[in-house]
Amino acid sequence: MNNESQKITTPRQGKTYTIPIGPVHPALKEPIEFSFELDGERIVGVDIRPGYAHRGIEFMGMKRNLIQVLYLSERICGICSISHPLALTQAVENAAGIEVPPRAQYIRTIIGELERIQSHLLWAGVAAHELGFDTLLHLTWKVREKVMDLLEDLTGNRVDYAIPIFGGVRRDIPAAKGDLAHAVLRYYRDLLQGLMDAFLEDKSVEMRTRHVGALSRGDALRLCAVGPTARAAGVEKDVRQDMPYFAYADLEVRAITPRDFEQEPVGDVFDTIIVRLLEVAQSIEIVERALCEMPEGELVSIPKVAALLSFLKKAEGEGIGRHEAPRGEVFHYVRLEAGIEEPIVWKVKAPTYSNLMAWVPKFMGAEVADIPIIAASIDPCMCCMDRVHVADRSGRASIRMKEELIRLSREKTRRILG
Amino acid sequence: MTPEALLSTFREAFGEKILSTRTVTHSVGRERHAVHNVWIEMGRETLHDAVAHLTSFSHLHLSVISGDDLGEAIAFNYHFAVGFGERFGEVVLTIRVVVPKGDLRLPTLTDLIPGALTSEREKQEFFGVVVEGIPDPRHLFLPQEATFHPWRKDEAAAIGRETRHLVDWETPHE
Amino acid sequence: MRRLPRSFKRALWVYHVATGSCNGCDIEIVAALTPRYDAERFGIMLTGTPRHADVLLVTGPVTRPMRERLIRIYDQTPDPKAVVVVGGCGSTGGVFYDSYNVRGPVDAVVPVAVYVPGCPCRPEAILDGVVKAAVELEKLERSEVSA
Repeated sequence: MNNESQKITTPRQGKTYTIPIGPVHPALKEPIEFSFELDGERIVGVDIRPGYAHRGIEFMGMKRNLIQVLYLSERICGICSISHPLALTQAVENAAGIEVPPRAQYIRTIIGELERIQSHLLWAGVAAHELGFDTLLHLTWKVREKVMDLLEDLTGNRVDYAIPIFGGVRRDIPAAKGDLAHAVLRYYRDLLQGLMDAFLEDKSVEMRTRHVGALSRGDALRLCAVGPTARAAGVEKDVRQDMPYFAYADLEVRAITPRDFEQEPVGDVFDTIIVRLLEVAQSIEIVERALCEMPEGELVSIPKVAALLSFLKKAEGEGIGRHEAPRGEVFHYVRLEAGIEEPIVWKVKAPTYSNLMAWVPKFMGAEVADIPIIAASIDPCMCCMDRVHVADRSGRASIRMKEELIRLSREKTRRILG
Repeated sequence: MTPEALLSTFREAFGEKILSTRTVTHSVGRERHAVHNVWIEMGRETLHDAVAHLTSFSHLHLSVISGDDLGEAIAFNYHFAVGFGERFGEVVLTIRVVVPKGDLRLPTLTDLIPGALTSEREKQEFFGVVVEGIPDPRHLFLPQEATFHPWRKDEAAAIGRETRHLVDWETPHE
Repeated sequence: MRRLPRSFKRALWVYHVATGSCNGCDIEIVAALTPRYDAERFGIMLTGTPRHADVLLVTGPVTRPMRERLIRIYDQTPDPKAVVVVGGCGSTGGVFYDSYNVRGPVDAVVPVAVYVPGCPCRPEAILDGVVKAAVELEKLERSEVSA
């Protein structure tokens, strides 16, 4: 890099400078490192370096038996803590040829959708916080506690529900709990319009998110984006629709795009808010229907864990499991060999893995003050925004803390509102 | 697209170069709808052409590439989702490519599917395969200076029994 | 009933470090700060920088690249300080006990005052952990004054 030295002597003529962000984050998510190339306030380049939260889970899984792998898969992500087990159980069931009783399929669907409600509300709160709208953060997180209570009531834990097992589920949803669930869903149904108004009718939210972090339909397709990130860009892609599984095969789920809100999709942050809030409404409907239509019957096809383990040890084959997690497609591939307890291959693909590349066009051309909300817009399972380190090409560095970034973001909100 | 149609276009275009095919069908839901997984095995040299052929008439979503250490060779499974936008409209297509360990090379797909980059970078660091023509060869999840390949099952994995106390590749402090 | 520690006469500022956690405990920490559990009524507030913090909440089994960063954050935190490990994997390594990229648990990297077990911990448990850390801080403060 010989023009590097030129820039050091004449830093003012160097048109761009680089700010690294990360990898430590104080408030919410996992560590990741960004490096932004800036021309003034405009982002002209971005480099993303994940790996700070890399724990080698697949490596560990390939040394453990499948029941242990199930526990491990639950701990891949603490927000979508049922999505990974659901995809893993599907992959193993396909590989080993285990049938899942219909009632168990409905229970899996119900817990999966309740998780989506929880996760989207969580995201909405985080998005409001990144915009400097903390009242809305506290409001959404307050109402989120209702579904957390329901999940705890149904499964015994607020997070890491430990519901699926190979060939079924571990716990039933008895009629009394079903009534409880209906009550909670009614609560959300009544509340959702207000929440939609708070986000979508608010002028400042619209000004901060409209045409910010836009992703075109073409880019979403080419970069293999998944979940609400792709759907906000107008790609009608949803595993529950395209390749249904569990009770989704009976319940007719449709991919939600901003068109359902009578808007042409732009793929910006505003559109991702629309998609996620509409998906909360969709999930409420799915859970209500699933609760009503849930058939009676067995919960699990091989009830004894020891028998299940010895069955899995004899199994041979490969299988794929996919699940539409709150953030997009979760994909698990498993290959089993007879006589070996451990999976020979276990490959996990989380939604953020697919959406990583979609960050790049979203950041391009945006302002520094928009970094927090754009980073949050794909709902990353790992993210970092606490410590912005500003360095010019001469190597002089100043540290920008997250507060300052949030302050910049808030100032922008105020500036827009005049 | 039906799996039969998918396979027949492949047979037409590649004929002998297809080493094996297999369709696995599951039935889901009360109405026992069929969902399909198609597996195709082909040589490394036809992989790029095959993907180009597919992208010419349908959108291809590359979910992920998985790898499988077979001992003398490594099998790479390219998991695609073909078709989207309608109920039961998607088929999962897996193209399997077996690469001998003496000659660990794969062609890049990033010219056809830019989103393949993440997965290709990951395969480079975790299996030690060289993806030819990859626009960004840096490590993605492991430290840049890591020289081992955790998902290999031979000495290249270079991970002792007490992996947690592994200290021989500490990053130099700045 | 135990008397509240004297440290409660001032607000306790908390900094959260995720060192490779699964987000489970991280989200429960945020839940502890939002209206249902409302940690701010005790004066517990999340800060954006370790330089303002009294308590470090550490989640996750320390991954290899995060080890060095955790040490740096610990050094940046002014004395007296207390480290609270939130979650099973930070306390012992948990399910991540045999990975090539995990260097934890947290007490192998920095001194720990309070362990909060659970996978993930409930928000009540996290609040309890921070209150226990306040007691530890008070002890530290007293020893500093007498020294």
